[in-house]
Amino acid sequence: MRRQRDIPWFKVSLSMMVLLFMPVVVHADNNAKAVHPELSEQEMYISCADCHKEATPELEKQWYDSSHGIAIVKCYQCHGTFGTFKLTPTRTDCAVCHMDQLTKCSTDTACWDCHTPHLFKAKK
Amino acid sequence: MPISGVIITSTPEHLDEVLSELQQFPQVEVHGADEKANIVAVLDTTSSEEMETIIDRINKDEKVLNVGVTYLNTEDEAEQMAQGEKLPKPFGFRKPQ
Amino acid sequence: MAQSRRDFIKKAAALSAASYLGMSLPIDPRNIARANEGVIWHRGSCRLCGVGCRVELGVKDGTPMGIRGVAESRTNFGYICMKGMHFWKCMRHPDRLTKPLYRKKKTDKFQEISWDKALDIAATEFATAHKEGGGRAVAYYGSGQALTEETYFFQKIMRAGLQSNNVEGNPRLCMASAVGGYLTSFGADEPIGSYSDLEKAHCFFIVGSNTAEAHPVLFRRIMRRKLDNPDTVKVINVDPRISQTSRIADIHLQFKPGTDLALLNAMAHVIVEEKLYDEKFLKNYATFRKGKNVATSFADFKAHLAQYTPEAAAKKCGGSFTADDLRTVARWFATSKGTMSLWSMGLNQRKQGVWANNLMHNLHILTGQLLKDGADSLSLTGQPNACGGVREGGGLCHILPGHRLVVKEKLRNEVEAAWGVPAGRIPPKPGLHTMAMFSAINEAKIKAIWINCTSPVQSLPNCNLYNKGMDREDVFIVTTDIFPTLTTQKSNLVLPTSFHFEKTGVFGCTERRSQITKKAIDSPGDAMPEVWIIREWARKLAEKMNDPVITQCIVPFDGLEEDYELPMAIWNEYTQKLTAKRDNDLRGATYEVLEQMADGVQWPAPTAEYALTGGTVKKFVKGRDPMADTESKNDLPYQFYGPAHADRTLWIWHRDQADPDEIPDAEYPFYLSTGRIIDHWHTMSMTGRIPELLRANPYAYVEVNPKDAERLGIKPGDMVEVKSRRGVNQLPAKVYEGPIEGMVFVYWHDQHKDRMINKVTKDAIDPGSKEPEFKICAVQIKRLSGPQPLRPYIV
Repeated sequence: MRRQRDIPWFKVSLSMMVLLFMPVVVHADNNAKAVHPELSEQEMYISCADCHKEATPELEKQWYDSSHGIAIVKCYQCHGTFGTFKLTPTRTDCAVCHMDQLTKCSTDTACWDCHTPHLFKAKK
Repeated sequence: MPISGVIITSTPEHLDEVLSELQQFPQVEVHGADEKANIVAVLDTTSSEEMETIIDRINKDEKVLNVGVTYLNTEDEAEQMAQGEKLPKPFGFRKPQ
Repeated sequence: MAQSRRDFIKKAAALSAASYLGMSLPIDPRNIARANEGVIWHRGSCRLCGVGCRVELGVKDGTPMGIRGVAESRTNFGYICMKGMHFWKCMRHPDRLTKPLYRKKKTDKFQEISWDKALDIAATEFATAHKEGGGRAVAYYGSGQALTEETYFFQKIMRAGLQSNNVEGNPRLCMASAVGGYLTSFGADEPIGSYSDLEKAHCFFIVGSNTAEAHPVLFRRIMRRKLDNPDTVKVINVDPRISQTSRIADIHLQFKPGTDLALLNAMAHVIVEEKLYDEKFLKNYATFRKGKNVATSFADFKAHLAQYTPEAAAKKCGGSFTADDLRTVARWFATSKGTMSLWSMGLNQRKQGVWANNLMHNLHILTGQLLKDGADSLSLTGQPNACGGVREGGGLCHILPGHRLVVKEKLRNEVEAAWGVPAGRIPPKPGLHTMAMFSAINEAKIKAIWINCTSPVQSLPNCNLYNKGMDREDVFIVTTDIFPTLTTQKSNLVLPTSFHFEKTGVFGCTERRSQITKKAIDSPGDAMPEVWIIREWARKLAEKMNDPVITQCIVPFDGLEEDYELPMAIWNEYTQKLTAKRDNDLRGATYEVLEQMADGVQWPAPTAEYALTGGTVKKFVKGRDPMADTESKNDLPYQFYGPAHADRTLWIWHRDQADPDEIPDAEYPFYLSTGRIIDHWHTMSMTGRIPELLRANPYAYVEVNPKDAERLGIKPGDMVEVKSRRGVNQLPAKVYEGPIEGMVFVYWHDQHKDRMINKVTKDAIDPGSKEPEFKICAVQIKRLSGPQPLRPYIV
């Protein structure tokens, strides 16, 4: 699963580097678990969206055009950063800003039961 | 002494092996696994630094696809620091040079 | 930690992981609740911009654990941005300053010393400097992040104690031109309206502001208003740089830096030519001015505008929009059911900053887009307490608390009487404004300076020049701060202070709103609240200078405990004695009232009963502003009782287009502009220590227009040299259709010596507001190499 990189990152442009990452992003059936490539400390200083624009263009676009994208609520605000990363944010994460909305929902409903991830619109 | 909740993702054919390897770590408590080889575990370490090392070691295992942290509690370290102890890498902070 | 609690936490950890997989574990989910048990949520403000978002800090066993927005707050309605979400994490960072540090020479190593010794040194140095050169030899340089109580108390000791008006602060660098604009156009400082106009506006005119990144939570409100009413609400963005803010704009007018005065005059031209002005409003409330004492008429004004045709302006502005675009914008502005203008440093940080502000207000006065719901001319303030502490609390060299001018003897005497010090104690001449203050340090005319909660080493324009002065061994520098900064590195004495949730005090945000943050947790190590530091320092000063008047300055605060009683006594003195009957009357906004409010009080608020309603949403409107009623002079609904216009009218100014101080030429062919980035606050001493925020924007970039990049052979990530007549930077490039062709843009947060853009910026100042022209200078651009590995740098 893991790929060895022997090219120092600074010798390749940002976009090339993203292409190098591409093969290691795997999607497993309905559980959609993505395995993130290992990054050097240097690479961790690139913003998530910069790589994901090319690695997961559809997700990035959904986010970019959503109210979160326009208001610049960035990836790390919901998903955390390296070391604290979580694939699926919890109610508690949403509650930081959306406390009052949460009080209107029953406590056993996850936010994603009603809202589409990255679009944030209510599911019809 | 930080405590974290993690999901360790392996593949079904390697699940048993990974589970037995995890038993080697005294800091790891396994709480269950599903058929897709997602393992629920709790890590209990003496420092944030150790927490990072363990996660890194599990992650480096060829049979492990990913370690995802879902929960992290570091209130002990904060308390220690408040009492004047100096910790090398509290809360996992790494000071850039 | 008790074993049972560890068990609860471990079970919560396991449940958290299991919940992701939809797995059920044989653990009672009530354990989660137990893990959260004992968390107390303390209400307070975020300090990382001027919006004034209300938050609750979760504290467990004396340690901050998390944060959430306050849904009932009328500033943010529960929303917070990433800085607000993460700032609390820096409170327990190991780099916090925890002991007083001293070195005799700036080249020596710091030694930890006791508070008693530290305050003794500070007092001795200020007393010695004062003996040599009087009030002119000492200075205080404060911050829009200091609490009001701190700014007020510092300036009291400086003015009445050390008889020095050398009281300044970093708000001189960001909003002095807005103050000048409000005073000269409306006769009173600070906006007439409020954020609540955002939800009622039908047209937004956003100029010289990247609201989306600099004021994210207000931008969310504008975005919501636009997205919910896509056809009826217009958003106009006017800026040399296309930014995140432009994403919601119906139209973006991109102009060449420094041509904004022509653009605003041309809008007035269209409004006058097409008779889109509000004749009745003009007749009742407005007069025309060429100079302070030179009255003109509507006809004169019209003649003055004749040269500013839309065609001429479109050409002057660089040709990236047409005369008809400008006409459209002027029509939307004038005819909407409510137009709200928003700006920040793009207009303020200019050599003609006050004029630019005047021209903005002109448009609102002409069209009557003021005083009604959804209409306002609103300058967005950059810092949490530039308005409350520095503008209102007397934190600049020419103003005393309660919007009083130093030069007016009667007003000085009022302050002296309130403080119980002899009349004539406060010097009659204003002190040195910020750039003059640091020039005086270059010449060692100031021998001792106290720098509080700000880092001028990085934040002054053309900083190389002023850093030489701060390196001088014959200038004693004391800094109070929470983290080491580039400025603490040039200090003799560094005093560790409390973070705002570790002490009690008030912040006053953009919309005349004062909000309290009470102490929630203890300070780390020996860090102390500034109010205690000031009092104890003043006590030693009085002793060393054998001056009973200095003692008199602290007598009302003697013996009070510093976490709550002391700041409350200072707040009471300031509000009850010095804001009474002033336009920022805060007598009703006592701690008791502020503590009951989710979101504080907007002044004027003369009584507690009125303050408990939230205060004044619209100034000058009878029935909505109690002072408009008490100060009423006629039957008209609006009463302009501000202290600066004796004639009680709004002034429309003749202000011509004037070029910036430095214009690109053959040698330095590019414009340079600078600005904030959403993830970082100012000099990043706080946000740079939070991994999430640091990683999101670890270093400054230079944004280059793709057309310029192609010409210069610059590719994304390449290292680029940005050089002016003053200094040079080497930065990675972002090739981006942001800045207009011929202009580059650099973020200013980076502390690294190669990427600190204020080495390059220019220190020309507005002759009225003395605010520097950070936003425009001329530079050379050169590709140095391909991408290089870079490291973030934090002192």
